[in-house]
Amino acid sequence: MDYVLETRGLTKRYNHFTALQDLSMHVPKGAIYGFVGRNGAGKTTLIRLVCGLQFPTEGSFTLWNTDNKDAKINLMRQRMGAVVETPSLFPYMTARENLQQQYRVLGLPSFDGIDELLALVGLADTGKKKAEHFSLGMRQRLAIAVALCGNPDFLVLDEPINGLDPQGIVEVRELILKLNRERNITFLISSHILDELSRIATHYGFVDRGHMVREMSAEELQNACRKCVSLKVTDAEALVRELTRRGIEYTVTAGDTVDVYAQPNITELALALWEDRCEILSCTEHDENLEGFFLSLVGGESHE
Amino acid sequence: MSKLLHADNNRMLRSRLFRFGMISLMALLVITFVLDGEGEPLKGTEAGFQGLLLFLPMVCSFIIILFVGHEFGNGAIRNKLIVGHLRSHVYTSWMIVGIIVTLIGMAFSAALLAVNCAVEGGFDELTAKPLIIVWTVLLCELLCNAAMSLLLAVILPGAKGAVVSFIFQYALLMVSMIAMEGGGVAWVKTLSYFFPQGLMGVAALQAAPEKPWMYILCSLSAAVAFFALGIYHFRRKDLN
Repeated sequence: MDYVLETRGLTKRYNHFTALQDLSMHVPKGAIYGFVGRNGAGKTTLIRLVCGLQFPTEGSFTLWNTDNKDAKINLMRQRMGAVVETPSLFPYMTARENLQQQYRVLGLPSFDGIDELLALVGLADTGKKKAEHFSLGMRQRLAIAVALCGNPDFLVLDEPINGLDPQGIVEVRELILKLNRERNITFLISSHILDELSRIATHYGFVDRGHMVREMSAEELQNACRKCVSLKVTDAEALVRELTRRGIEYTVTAGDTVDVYAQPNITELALALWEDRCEILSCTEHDENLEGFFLSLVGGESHE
Repeated sequence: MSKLLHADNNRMLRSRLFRFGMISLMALLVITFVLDGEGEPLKGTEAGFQGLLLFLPMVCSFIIILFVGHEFGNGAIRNKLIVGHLRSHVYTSWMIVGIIVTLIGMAFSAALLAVNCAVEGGFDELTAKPLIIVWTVLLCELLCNAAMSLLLAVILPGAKGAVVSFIFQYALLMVSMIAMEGGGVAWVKTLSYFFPQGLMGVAALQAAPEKPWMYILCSLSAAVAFFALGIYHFRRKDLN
């Protein structure tokens, strides 16, 4: 698989505090990668390292297969844009002037494309209004527009919907989906608002206390979160045979445990299994959402 | 690097900070002309020059620190690093903008002094050689001041840096004024090799300091040292 970003054993320490510990992650090309973790888990630290704002203590990362210690990494960075924490804008400039300033930073020969960018983020009619008078949602969208200057292939957004009202959240979500579909931009989005992330992400990385707990695709997560009955039996093969015969969907999760994606009649099933001398040892119903799954991965206790 | 310089210059020249700084400088010089010029030819202009030694480094220092501090404060510096600009280039671009601010400040001040000189008379008494030497020494010391201000701006971004700069500049001003009144003190003379305020006791419009090459050498060496130290620090600094 083609990866835009790969990290290998990335570690970041601040004096005696370890913000990231041996973190490895893989962001596939074209994905919307949801980087999930609670406050202080290390999400922003990782983003700062990837964006070149800070330096790793140990480990490395690659952008389009170029190592971070390679001098060419700065060329690769020209293909990315980012909004890290708060929107990075000049408050006394208008939306257009902010974009013009970023065009100069990028050395773009003309200001062509600024109108299109402003229209894309819904700020075409802000005129001479300064960024300092924008609402938080408008500033967030302008920051995304600044990050989009130069047509990047990879966009990193750190908590993009923090503090936005419901309308703003919908606008940012639709913008991300539009950019991903129409321009094939890869996204790395950090967030602790799981419900919102689950509406757009194609891949997930769950981080806790600086460690990557698990990486998975949205499909795998969907399966993991599906409503199911988990059966622990003495002979899993007998159960599999019986479920196949009945046309019921299932997944063998461990040697003796099978997740059944239906509501079977347990008495009938137990009687059928008994003919093969197979006993049902336990029967548990699972109905997890993303939040539940995340908590089951990282544990429920607070780390604050 | 040229992209950064273009962007930084554009931002500086359009900023309210720069315009306000230059207007303040001009206003302070005019006040000096009015307060200290007593009708004698060149008296007000000379007083203006002494005022320039005090105010120009202070104003330039504030502009540089607040200009750079603003990028740290609103996070705009991230927009440069994220798209792959080298930190050494970012710092060098700031330094060049600082030098441009200094040159513009000097040019405005020189023009104002010339106008005042033309109004109160005394142009005939001016000779080129000491003028050129004094302004060259002043330029070198202002470059040292700019490099030091930029170093301060990256170590203590924003208001903290401006406060420390104000305390430092004010201390230099007081030390120089006290030394000018009380006669030469060795360590104050040492200051004059590096900072424009120190020139108050040892230079005037028509009186170049002794051994001007020493002033040029010292101030330029210090400027290079501050610049190198600034790049070293900035390249290792973790940014938020």
